[in-house]
Amino acid sequence: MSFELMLFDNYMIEKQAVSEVLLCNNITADYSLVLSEEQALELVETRSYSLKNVGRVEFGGGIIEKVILTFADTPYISQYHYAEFLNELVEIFYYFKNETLDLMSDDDLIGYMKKYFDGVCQGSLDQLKFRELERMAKNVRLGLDPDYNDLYDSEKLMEAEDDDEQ
Amino acid sequence: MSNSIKKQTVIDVDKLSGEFYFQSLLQEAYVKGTLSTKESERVQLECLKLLADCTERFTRGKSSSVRVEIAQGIMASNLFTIGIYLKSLPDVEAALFHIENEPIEKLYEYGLQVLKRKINVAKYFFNRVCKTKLKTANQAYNITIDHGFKPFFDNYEINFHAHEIPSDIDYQLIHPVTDLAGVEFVIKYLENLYYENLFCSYFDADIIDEVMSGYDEAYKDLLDNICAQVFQNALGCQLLSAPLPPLDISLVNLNALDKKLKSDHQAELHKQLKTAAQELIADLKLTNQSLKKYLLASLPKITVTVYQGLATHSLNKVFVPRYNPNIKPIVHYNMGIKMPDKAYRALVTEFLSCRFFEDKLAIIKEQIKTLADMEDLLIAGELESTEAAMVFDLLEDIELAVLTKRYPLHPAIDAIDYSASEVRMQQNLDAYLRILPRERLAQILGMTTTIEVV
Repeated sequence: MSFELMLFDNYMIEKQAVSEVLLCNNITADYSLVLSEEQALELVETRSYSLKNVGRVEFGGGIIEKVILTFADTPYISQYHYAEFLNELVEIFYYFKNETLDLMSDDDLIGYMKKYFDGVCQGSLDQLKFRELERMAKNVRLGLDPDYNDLYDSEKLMEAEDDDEQ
Repeated sequence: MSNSIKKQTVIDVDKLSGEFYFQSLLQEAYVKGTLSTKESERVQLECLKLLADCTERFTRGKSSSVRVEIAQGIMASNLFTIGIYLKSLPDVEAALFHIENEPIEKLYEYGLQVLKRKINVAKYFFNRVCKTKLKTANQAYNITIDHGFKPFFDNYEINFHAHEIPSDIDYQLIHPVTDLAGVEFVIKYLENLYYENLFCSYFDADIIDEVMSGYDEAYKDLLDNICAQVFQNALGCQLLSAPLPPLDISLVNLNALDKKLKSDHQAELHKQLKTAAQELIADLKLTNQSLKKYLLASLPKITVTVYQGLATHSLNKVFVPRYNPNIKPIVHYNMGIKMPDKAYRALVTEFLSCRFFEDKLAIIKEQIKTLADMEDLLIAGELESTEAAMVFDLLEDIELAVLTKRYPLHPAIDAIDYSASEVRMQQNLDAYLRILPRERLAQILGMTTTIEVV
């Protein structure tokens, strides 16, 4: 009995996940962000695709609800791009789950994603993915503080030198 | 005549895997129709649920997903743990009854209890192995016992990696352990090693050392089994009705063994070896039944080895003569005092300036009084191989033996250990030795083993 054979009941799991995602609409509606059933199903499929793509398996509800609820109050998204935005976030999440070698919990990783997205990235998913989270993952792998940024350190050092000269 | 009553079952027990017992049992039961499709699906679903629970414990609830290889590892560990419990039941029928009537989670919990007990069994056998440990120079044996099992007893983790064997086992047994995993593998390995130690304990450690040195002088670096060689030599002694404890097989004995066994077919040979083994067991007064079975089970392999040894005229590699590498040489050879440096330099200058080789020979005959000077001149003299051969003709056998011992020809290390002139001298000496009559060469090479240059 191989491991793959045991994951046969995908349909049931997906159906349950879609209904859980749709339940989040009750909260995100306050921020004018709502997913249709079709979009929710697409999101769940994206999760399955991402998991397969990065070589992971997930049990239970998964992280979609956590991502939706955490990013609900971000000022940089609108209903127009909402579904597309969530799909990208889910993909980014699983990719960096691997890149951080599972050393970071789900809540921490989503927390940092939100912090960088709202902060230094100012709503840019590309900057979040290719700059901030790459740097953060590298820091985690090296055992440094996730926020450590040698670029900022050198800028601070230069500023301090300028102050000394003045 | 021993007829044991065997319970009739649909499932062929021989088809069940030792390492993947639970999976193979499910598969067999499903194929034979003992387990219905519905039951099979229930078992799979419950296994999935167990995996989800274990994964949550693995991540301590901090991560909802894990990498596929981690999940596969946890699943393999779970199935192994359940298999351990099912194996502990009296028979396959009982195992199937438990699968059908107990939740998988419960079977897993029972399996964990069995695993804990088995770790204690492994500790017991490890203590027995340490107590009966053989005093030997074999590195693989010593390292396996002294350090190989430390990682297992320190790090064996029954919750998520029960099927793994975190140990560094290098030493090879007579009967290698196969089709087992985790703690079961370790128990079986230690049990087998204990029986081997037990058999070796009937002989003196120094004698075993000499037997193994006879097998190969560098046996301490080899991965070969000690007990197998000791058992083979003991069988050889038994076949010759020679006294057992010395385990010595001389050249005469080998010829006698060759004559005694040569005419036999493989089946006849096996019969003869089995009789000898039974006599050996009786003579040594071996009482441990498991040890007896262990030794007798190795006879088919030994039969093949002996048969091949007879066919290839290499019986001396099967029943090996003892050899003590520490026996001191019996001849001490003094190479003499070297002439003063100034006189030597003048001699070499004159030697190199000679136009004819006859003049060089005359210088050697007149002025070289010791082998130490001769050696220096052979190195510094830049002689051709034919010229060198004429100089070597002036030397006695013992002097050639001394030079051979001091300059053995090993191309692999020459470049590092010897200068170009020394390598040239070595090659000249080697070329000279090759053209000597076989008897004289054997005499010279024999001398090299018993001579010590002072």
